[in-house]
Amino acid sequence: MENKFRRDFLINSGLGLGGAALSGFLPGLGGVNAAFADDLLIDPLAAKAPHFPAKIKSVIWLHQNGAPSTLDLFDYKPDLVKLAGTEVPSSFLKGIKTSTQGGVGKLFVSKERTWKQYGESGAWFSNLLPNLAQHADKLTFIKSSMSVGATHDISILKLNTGDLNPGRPSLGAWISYALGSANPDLPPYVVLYNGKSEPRAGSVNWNSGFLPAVYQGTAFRPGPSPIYYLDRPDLRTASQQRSSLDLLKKLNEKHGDRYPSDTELKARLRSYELADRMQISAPEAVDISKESDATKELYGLNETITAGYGNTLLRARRLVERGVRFIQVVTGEPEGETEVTSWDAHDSLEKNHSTMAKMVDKPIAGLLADLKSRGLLDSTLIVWTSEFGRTSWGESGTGRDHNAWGYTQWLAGGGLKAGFTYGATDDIGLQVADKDTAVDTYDLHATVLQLLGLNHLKTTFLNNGRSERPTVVYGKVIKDILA
Amino acid sequence: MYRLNNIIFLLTLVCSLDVNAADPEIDTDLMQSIEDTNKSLSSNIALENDKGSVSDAKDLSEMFAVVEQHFIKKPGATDAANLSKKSKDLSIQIIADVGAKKFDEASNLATELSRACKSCHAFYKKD
Repeated sequence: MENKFRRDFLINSGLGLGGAALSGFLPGLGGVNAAFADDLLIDPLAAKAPHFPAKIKSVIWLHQNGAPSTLDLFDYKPDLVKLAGTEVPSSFLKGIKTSTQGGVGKLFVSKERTWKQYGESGAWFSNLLPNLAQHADKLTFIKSSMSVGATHDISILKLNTGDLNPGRPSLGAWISYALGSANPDLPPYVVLYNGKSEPRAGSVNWNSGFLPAVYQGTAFRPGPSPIYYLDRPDLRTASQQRSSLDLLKKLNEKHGDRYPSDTELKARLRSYELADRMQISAPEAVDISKESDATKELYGLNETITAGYGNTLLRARRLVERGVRFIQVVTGEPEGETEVTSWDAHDSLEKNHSTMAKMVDKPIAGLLADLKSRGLLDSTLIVWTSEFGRTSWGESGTGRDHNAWGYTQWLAGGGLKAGFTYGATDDIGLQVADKDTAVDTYDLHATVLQLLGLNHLKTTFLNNGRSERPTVVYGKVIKDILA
Repeated sequence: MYRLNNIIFLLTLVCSLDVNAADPEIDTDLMQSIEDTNKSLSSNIALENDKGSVSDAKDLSEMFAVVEQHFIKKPGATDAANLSKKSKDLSIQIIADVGAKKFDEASNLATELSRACKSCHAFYKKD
């Protein structure tokens, strides 16, 4: 039986594992579109049309690892300043479970903190973000963010996959699945990080869960060769490699025809070819040597503390230019730092946040300015996000504990009301003030998908007979922030 | 015989007190059933499976009726009573929408229902 007929049989019959796997490929799960499914078999990363016209082409997901205190960055609370050093009034604690590790201490404000309003929007920024503040009118704040506050690893998993347990696809994987790739020479979903090691909790935060493995994120490590073992060994010529890959492909295809539902094999097959092309395209995509000195300066590449993160964001811009759909950037430790490795400031918040804010402030401001000047900001979405925020009360005298009841995240880019603030926390910045405006992870995901032209309710995949979607059973597009 | 009857009476009394304390009408099994059925409902609506959707929504409306009654009787639980009534009403509306083949509307209502569950749990989590 020829391959085409075998595929047609599986697609048209819709029976057996092959049929089940194929029907899972179809967003919306309408009738089986044989031609579409056939294309997906050949190339699961083929570009796919969105449900409605998209506002943006790419997303840069800026995960601030360790959970910054947005009370020390964006959420100015005069009452917290007034009440600092006193017990938390019981009225503010209503409805929350305060069994966090450090208990409930006295309300805390750093003596070093000062605040100022910027731009026509009058958004508040602390003295920790002088560069980002200059872009106040480009930002859309969500000051009523909330999540589930467990440990960092669990809440980070929720931030990226929508679930507290491993197994669900990350947002980037859903986007790769629903839209495919806009550049056949690069993966549609790339993960970047600065620092020496991979982000905490690792690849479970960019995996494809029950989606086919081909949609998982590809981690690009810092340095000239972004992917382990990507470079062709010196002793092997390009033609030798090509012959070897051709043979491998032939053998794998023969095997793959016998197991049409084996998505791992399909992903592997495609990854060999992609790797071959990426030996050229990936190093080129992250090679910033040809960037102008002015651009390098813009991202802070000339200063030790900003160089690593700045390099990562410059790479992110280059990936946006090359059509990568979803770029997940995770903050690592600043160059040369040993004590401060993330935003997790249970103590010494001032030292921690002044270091971390300095690491990200100039590069993020540079990214916004650079995208704007290149005409890319309108087609890109930047999401500044974290697993949770930090408490209004102090911990260890100089730090803050975890707070998932109310914190700030912001977005910038196409399709948004710029210079706009949605929602608020209470007067001490502890909880979302109006629960009807609360924005959970699912709502943020639904909104990102909406801007990409995807209806989160119709972005579906059939897994073990159940229709799954990125927002699990939740999700509400935050329409108030859309332009 | 008299002594045996006393023992049986006391055992019955203890058992009945224990059952009342645990409140068998609304326990973790019921909540787990609601969660599972809600997930199933969401899937069935997405698959445009009207029979499955109606069956799930009907089960949910019955289970939310139990939850509503429980919270009506419980002092100081007005929010939960209102949210469970809202969830019951949403389940009934979903049955109507699915019957009219309005799956998009049903999907939105099912999401609203899930949010109502989440809100209720935010009010009434165990300390």
